[in-house]
Amino acid sequence: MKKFLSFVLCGALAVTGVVSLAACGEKKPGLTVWGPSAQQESLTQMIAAFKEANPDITYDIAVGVCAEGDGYSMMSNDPQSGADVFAFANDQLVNLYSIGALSPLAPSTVTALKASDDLTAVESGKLGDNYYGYPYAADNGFFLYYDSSVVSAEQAKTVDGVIEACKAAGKSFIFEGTNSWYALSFAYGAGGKYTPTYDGATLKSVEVNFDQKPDGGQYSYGQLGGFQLAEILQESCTKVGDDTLIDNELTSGTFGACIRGTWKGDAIKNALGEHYAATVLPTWVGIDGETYKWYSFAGCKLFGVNGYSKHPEDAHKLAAFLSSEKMQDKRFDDNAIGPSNKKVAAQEKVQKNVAVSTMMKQISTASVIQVSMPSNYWSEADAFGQAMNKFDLNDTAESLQELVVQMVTAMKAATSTPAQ
Amino acid sequence: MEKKQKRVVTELEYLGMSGWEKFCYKFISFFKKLPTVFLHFFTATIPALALRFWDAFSGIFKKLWIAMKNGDWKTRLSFLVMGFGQFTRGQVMRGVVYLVFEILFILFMALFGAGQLALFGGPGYTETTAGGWIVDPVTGQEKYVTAAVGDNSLLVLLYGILTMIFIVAFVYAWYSNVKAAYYAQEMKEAGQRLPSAMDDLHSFADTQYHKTLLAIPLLGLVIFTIFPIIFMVFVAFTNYDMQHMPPAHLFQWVGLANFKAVFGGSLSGGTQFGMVFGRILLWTVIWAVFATFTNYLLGMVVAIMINKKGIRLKKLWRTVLIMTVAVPQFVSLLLMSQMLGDYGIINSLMQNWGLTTAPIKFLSDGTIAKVTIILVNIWIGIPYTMLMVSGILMNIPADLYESARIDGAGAFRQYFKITLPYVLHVTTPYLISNFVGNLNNFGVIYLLTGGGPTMAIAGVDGAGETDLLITWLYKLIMDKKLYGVASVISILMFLITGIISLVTYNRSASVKNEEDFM
Amino acid sequence: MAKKFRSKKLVERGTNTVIYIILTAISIIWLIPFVFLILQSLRGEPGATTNYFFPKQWTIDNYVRLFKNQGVSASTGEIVSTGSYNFMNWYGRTLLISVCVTVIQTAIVLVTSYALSRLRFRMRKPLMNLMLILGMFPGFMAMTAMYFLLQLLGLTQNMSIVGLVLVYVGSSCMGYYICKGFFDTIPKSLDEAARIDGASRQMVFFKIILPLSKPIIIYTVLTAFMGPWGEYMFASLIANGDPSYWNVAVGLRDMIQREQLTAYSDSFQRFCAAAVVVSLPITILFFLLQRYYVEGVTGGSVKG
Repeated sequence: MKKFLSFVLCGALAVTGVVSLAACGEKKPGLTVWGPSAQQESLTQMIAAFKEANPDITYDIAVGVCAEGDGYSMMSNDPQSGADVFAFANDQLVNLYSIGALSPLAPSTVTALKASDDLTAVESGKLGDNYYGYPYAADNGFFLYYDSSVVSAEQAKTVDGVIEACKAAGKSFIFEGTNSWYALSFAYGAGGKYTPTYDGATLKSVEVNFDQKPDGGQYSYGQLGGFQLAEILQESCTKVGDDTLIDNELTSGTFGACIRGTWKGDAIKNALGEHYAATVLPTWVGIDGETYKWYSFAGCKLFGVNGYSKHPEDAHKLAAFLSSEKMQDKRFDDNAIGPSNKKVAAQEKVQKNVAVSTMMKQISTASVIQVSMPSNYWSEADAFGQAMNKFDLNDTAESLQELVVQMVTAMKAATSTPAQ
Repeated sequence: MEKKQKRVVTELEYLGMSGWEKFCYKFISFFKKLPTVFLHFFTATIPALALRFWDAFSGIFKKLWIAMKNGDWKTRLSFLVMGFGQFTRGQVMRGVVYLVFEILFILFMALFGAGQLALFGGPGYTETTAGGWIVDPVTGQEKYVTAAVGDNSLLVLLYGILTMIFIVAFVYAWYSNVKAAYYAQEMKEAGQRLPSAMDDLHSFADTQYHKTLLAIPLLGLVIFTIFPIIFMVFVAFTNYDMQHMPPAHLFQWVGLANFKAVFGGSLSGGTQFGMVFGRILLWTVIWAVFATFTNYLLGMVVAIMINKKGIRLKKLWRTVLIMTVAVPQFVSLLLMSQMLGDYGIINSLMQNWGLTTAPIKFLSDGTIAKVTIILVNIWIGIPYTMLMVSGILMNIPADLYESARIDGAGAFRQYFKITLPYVLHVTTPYLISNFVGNLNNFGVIYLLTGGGPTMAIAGVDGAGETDLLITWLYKLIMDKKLYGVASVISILMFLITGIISLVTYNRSASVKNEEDFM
Repeated sequence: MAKKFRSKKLVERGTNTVIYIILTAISIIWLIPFVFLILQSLRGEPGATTNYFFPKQWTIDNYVRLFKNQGVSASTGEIVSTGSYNFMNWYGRTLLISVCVTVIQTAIVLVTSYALSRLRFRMRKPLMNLMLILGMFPGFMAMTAMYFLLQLLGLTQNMSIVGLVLVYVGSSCMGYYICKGFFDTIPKSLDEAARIDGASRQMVFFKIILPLSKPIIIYTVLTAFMGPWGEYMFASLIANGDPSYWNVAVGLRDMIQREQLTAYSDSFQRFCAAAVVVSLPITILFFLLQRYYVEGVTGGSVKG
């Protein structure tokens, strides 16, 4: 036994020695950047370019991992030790601001950004009188991908057409409609609105009208959208699932069409080849017989500078560099990220990228800007999606309205919840 | 255990039952007794504890008073200068230790502790001012003014608690110093030899050995368990939430507001708080019961099969099962959740083979997911039970079976008459700890379903169908940052599980008979 | 008589056959996930999932890429370096943490259990009760407290190995239960005889109890060694986003983030390969020490 213990101890000591030597390369004070894990390599190259562009200063820049959607949850652990520059999705603006994790942009920078970048993207970083983010991507939304040998361009214009075509060919239509991001997209299309108002980081009021009827209408926005959601979810060709399911359907050759964002473009293109096609979300016919648009969320991704950064001016410089025209161009080449810079977006290669250009068209024609939502917006939308998935289509319109009213009531209670 | 109870079943009847009936009887009477036990806990145990506590507490002051009254000047000076009494009576080492501790404490308080305590919990914090750009009116150049970080209510709270712990330690040391000084005086007066430094050292390897052994473990316990718990209890009385995240926005005391929110069922956001809490609590209990007993019974069956006489390859069967213990649980669970997904390999294969047409929602339908989780938990848990029961089976005296066989008992009778009662008797503490552990089983749920799918009801604020109290708590903290409210719920959960396990442990036979064992 | 004997034997054989069938079925069910893990780690086709069990192309490239810190890009399908991701680094860190935790935790558990089992002192019972229930406090809030405490001591990020070891062993005395149970089964007469011969309590511990405790020591070593491999939450908190301070669990979690699992990426296959590599040392240790583990757990967790 003694032998065993001493063996373990010696091992421990030996490994300690080796690793402590390895850990000796201590970091000099410098900057930390957080970016999504899939873009680590690209980010490292951009930082090398930044160092090259500023040869007079020796920067020591570390790269960390943080998905844009996790900006808040990572930062909120300890904003003072968080990254100096980090990527975040624009719907986290209010929360990040509330923990002091965002530093405002210089007025001159804002003027320059307004000239070079898409105005909506720049404005998505605005809170009060200040701007808090350097936009670098304006491609966060969803639209329709389809196999043109299954669905014709004409059929792709309406929901009924898509469903019919998929059914006829025995292919699947993939739509994660129970997910909170997609669940209310029909209701928005019908004219529903959800508007949170903030005073600084405090939620002042929430305006929701899903339970109301349009002028002279018979059904509420929630009823229209909810019924359409229930109907499409319960179609025999519809499969509810995420990226993995889309991959599965592509490999097994049963892919007909799907609703997804730009990130899935390459995978679908590779699998479908010449039959790869995408278009804006199709229109749908409500229970009242009217035709409505189908809305996507429109979100941007920005670089923020930590309000507690020890080198704020350098950090701002780096953030500006990372979101510059050149870097957006590189990001499009490396990871097919849809740019917010107008010049980059206007390039032929971007326009030729079906997914990115469709996204831009979708955002400009039928979308709701995805602002900072109170956390319970997402959980309510989620619960509504789940309820619609189970909703009996033969049930009365009143019972559907009941569910809508419950959702709206719960959403309105949000003023007492923290924002998310 | 039965003797104290009003007899429903006479001793004779009880002895006449089979092992299985005995077990059922015990199981039912356990739950029947629970209310009485709890009542007993609050009406008798707690008052008795309070009384004992008061005795000990007043005893301290009595001793101090006696030391003050009867002490000579050396003892009395020890009240101010720690270790003085020992010094002047020749116990130099003890004296030095006490004195150094006092000096350290004074330094700590002067340099750090006092400042933290003065700020503790606010008000009187300095707020943080955010940074921003200013434009030089002359040159027109922009310059960044760095944020001025003020106090951080979180750090003040933490450091304040650390200071308090240190103060408690100091007061204890000071008290023992006075006591020891007076004791030394009495010894001297009685003409006895005082223990030398060498004696002291030796006692730490013998009569005081428990102090030597437990010093480091208990230090770790105080820093890494008790300190965070105290922190959590304090947080329950603050408005630490998403709008009060230090250092940008400081939290303050809010009295009992969080308790009112939880008990009044008016927790902000989730309009259905009471319903959600009830549903999750119910599922937590159902889960714990199923998870514990399915694992236990099935594990025992597997163990008995493997250990049956005449079964070969015992080692192989055992090794196969132990694989689950050896592979890190988060790997196997993540893999399981991948395999069981709506479009995971299991559903794909079943559809390929034509067994099903649509995917079975193993993890995405509330009811099915609950069953799946329990099944997966069996997969994880059986090997542990199997290992343990195998060991016990080997320990059952073979002559018991021999005599049973002579009496003509078949395999089943042997099982119910000998094996089951023996194993049950021996593993009761394991069962209890397993049950309590399952009440707080975070890993399985978190890695398999993450608590999902979301309840399809408005106003539940993200609570899922398979959420246990513990995973729900995790959501409240990590997603919603409701630190204050989460602390209140943590305290409640702690009280419930803590009391259950204290009561059951101390009533279970093996703890009671600890001293007479062997 | 002879007939009865034979029928009994037949029944016996029948039950045994049934048992063999059940055991085989159980073994298959228990092994499927691991077989799947190994098969996936050897899969040559890209993509996160397949709808068939056995890979169509067999390869060890996933392991090669794992150790070379390369991966197939999630968006373009080319082989690229995974940047600051360094599997060997994570592995080394976790192994080191594990070894340190094993040594310290084993020592703490043994010492605590001996004190509680053999020594009689005033606060023994309350202490045992306290340690029993303290572990039931839901620990998420504790993470915040612990994080800032470690930061105060400068033990986050590049010192996170020390910080993590401290956190993992910090409360290990609460796991005294099984080990104390084992010590309780060692006859007290042994100590008493030694005490009469003039041995101090310390000598009793080192000369009598420890030499008899091989199974429980090995059991404690095994459980302590396994713990840090699967710990994800605190390790990711303390690393604060920097992959060079991750442990294996955080790295593995990242490999199967949604954005990593695309139609071309080999992220899932590398995850499986990494999981196989992680499971190896523990599985080997388990096979070697299985006997003691069983003795330890049965000796400790149960007593009449």
